[in-house]
Amino acid sequence: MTAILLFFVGSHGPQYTNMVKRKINRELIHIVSRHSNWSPDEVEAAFDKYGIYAGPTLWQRFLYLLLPAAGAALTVSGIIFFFAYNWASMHKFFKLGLVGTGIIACVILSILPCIPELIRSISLAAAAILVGGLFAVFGQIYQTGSDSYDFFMGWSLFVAIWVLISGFPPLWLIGVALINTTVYLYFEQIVKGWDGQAFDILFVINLTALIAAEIRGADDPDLHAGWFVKTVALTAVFQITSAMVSGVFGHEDGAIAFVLGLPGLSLGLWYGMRTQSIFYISAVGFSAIVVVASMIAEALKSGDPIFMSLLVCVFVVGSTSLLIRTLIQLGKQWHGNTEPNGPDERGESVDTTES
Amino acid sequence: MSGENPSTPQSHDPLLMEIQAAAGSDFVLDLQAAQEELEESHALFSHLPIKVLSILGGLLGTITFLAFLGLSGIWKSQFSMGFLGVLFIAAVVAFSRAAKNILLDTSMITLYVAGCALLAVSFESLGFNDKGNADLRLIVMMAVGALTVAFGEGFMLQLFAVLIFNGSLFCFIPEHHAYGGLFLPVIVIGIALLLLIASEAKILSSDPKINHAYKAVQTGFFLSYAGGLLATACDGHFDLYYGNMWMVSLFHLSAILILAYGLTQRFDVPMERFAIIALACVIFVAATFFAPYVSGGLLLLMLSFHYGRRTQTGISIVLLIYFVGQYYYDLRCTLLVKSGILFLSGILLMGVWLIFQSQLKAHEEV
Repeated sequence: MTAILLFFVGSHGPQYTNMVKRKINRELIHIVSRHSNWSPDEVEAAFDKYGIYAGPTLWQRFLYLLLPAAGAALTVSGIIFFFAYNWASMHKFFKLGLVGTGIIACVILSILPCIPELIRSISLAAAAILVGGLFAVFGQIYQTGSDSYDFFMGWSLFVAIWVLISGFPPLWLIGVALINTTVYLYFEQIVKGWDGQAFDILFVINLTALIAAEIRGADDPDLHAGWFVKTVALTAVFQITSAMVSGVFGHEDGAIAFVLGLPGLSLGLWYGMRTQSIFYISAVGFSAIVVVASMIAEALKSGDPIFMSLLVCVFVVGSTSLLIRTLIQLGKQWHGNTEPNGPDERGESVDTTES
Repeated sequence: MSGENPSTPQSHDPLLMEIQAAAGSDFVLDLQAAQEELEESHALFSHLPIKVLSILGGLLGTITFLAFLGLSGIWKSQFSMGFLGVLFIAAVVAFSRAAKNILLDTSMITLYVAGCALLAVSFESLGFNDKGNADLRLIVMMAVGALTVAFGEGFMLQLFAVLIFNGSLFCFIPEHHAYGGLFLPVIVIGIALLLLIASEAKILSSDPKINHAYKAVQTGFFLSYAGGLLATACDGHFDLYYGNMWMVSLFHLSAILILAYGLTQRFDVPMERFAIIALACVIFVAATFFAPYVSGGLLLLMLSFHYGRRTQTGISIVLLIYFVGQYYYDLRCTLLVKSGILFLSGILLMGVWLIFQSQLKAHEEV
C-alpha cells in the first residue's frame, strides 16, 4: 500500500534542489581502482591523501577524547564499587548524604561558566542519573513499599526540567527512556494485560518527543542530533507497529492503535518526503508492510494455510522490493548525482552547502 | 602523482576529474565503465536504511517462505529439501551474475537463506553417524559460502555467504562440544580480517572481481569476528570451557603491537615513544589475559578507526564498552578489589591523557 503510494510519489514527486556536495570517498576509490591501472601503492596513497585512513591529527583527536572519557568512566565506576562494598555498614544519613553531595557537585559543575559546555552537560546528565540513585537509596532505607513505576515516575518528574532546558540529546534520551519505563511499568503492574494500549500511549509520547526534537533541531541546527531522532523514531514506529499487529490478530483492541498509527505514520511519511529523509520513509514503509502482511495472514487464516503463507511471502518480498526501488528513485531525484546523507565511511562526510 | 593525464579522456564527474588531475601521466582509466558504475553505486546500496530494509525484508520473506515450504510437507522428504536447497542457491548465484536489478535483491536474500536452511536441514538423516553427518553438513555449508563468494555477485549475497561460511566454521565447536578449541576459529577469522584490512590496497588493485567482492567479504569477516568475541564474552567462563583462550590474547597483543608499530613508523614517532606505547599495550593485554574479548574489542576499534570505517568504529565502541563491563562482572574478586582495579585503571588512563596533552602542547610550541 505504502510502497505503491511511494512508487507514485517517487515517479511524479516534486524536484528538490537540496543537493549535497560530494567528497572523494572509499567507494569512489574502489571504483577507480577497479577500472584503472592504479598500483597498490597509488591506491594506498589515495586512501591517505583523501583522508579515508586516519592521519596523525585524527589519531590525536581520537586519543584526546578517548583517554579522558574512558579514564573518568573507570574512576567513577571504581568509586561507586567502593561504596557498594561498604554499603551495608554505612549509616543511612551518610548514604543519603553521599548521593546528595554527588548531585549537588554535579549541578554546581554544570552551572560554572568557566567549564567547557560539554563537561557541564555531562555533569547535568550525571546529576539526573544520581537523582534515581537517591530515590533508590531512600527506598532501600525506608522500605517505602511503592511500585516500580512510582520510582520511575518520581525520577522522571524530578529531572524533567533539566531534560527540557539542557539542550543535550543524551539527557533527552535519559528523560524519554524514564518516561517510557514509567508508562510500561504502570501498565504491567497496575493495568495488567493492556500491553497494546501501553504501546499506544508510548507511541504518542515518543512521537511528541520526536516532533519536539525535530522542531528544536530546525530552530538550532547545532541541537539536531540525528542519532537521538532516529532512536526515538524507530522506538515509536516499533511500538505502533506492534500495537497494530497485536490488534490485527485480535490480542488487543486494535482500533485505537490504527486511529493513532495511521495519522502518525502518515505524518512520518509526509515529513520524510518534505525533508528528503530516506530514513523516515524506510521506517514507515516497512511498518506498513508488516501490518498489511499480518492483515493478509489474519484474513486468510481460516482458508488454506499453504496459500496464505505463500501469499504473505510474495507480498513481503514484492512490497519490500518496490519500496526499495521507490526509495532509490527518490534518492536520485533528491540528490541527483551527489552523495546521499548519512555517510558510512570516513571521507563521505558531506558539506551541506546548497547548490 | 600530479599533472594532466593525456592518455585518458577527461570525465565530467568533478570527483573523477579531481582524481584524474592528481594522477600521474601513466594513469589509465576506463572512464565509461567507471562513470557507469559510479552512477550505479549511487543508485544501489548507498543508504544504510536501504541495506537494513533489504535484510529485514529478506529475512521476513525467508520466514514466511520456510513456513510455506514446511506447511507444504517438504520436511517429510530429505531429498526434496536438499534438492530444492541446491536449486535455490544455484538459481540465486546465477541470477546475481545475470541481472543486477534491485527489485530482485530482497527475493535473492529470501531464496538464498531459505536454500541454505533447506540444504542444512536435509543432512539430518543421510545415514551417517551423528558426528560425521554434522561435520559433512558444516563442510558443505562452508563450501556453499565460499562458492557463492567466488561465483556470485552483489554486496548482500556475498555478505550472507561469508556469514554462512564463518558461522559454519564456528559451529564445529558446539557440534563436538570442543569449547576449549574456540580459540582456533576466532584466531583464524581474526588473522583473515587483519590481512583483509591491512592489504586493502593490494587486494583492490589485483583483479576487478576480487575488488568487487572486497567490501562484502571485509564486512562479513568484521561481523564474524565481532560475533566470535561476543560468543567468548557472553558465556563469561574464564577458565571453564575456554581454557585456551589466552592464545587469542596473545594473537591480539601481536596484532595490536604490529598495528601500533606500523602507525608509529607511518607518523614518524620516535622509537622510545613506541616502546612506551608497546609497554602500555602489554600491560593492558596482561590485565585482561584470560578475557581476550576486551583486547579484541580494542583491536577492532583501532583497526576500524585507522582504516576509516565509521559504522564499524561505532560498533567497535559499543562492543568495547560491553566487553569492559563484562570483564569486571566476570572478575572473581570482592567489590573492594574490583573498585581498586577500576579506580587505578581510570587514574592511569587520565595520567596518560595528561602526559599526552603536555606532549602535544610541547610539540605545538616547537
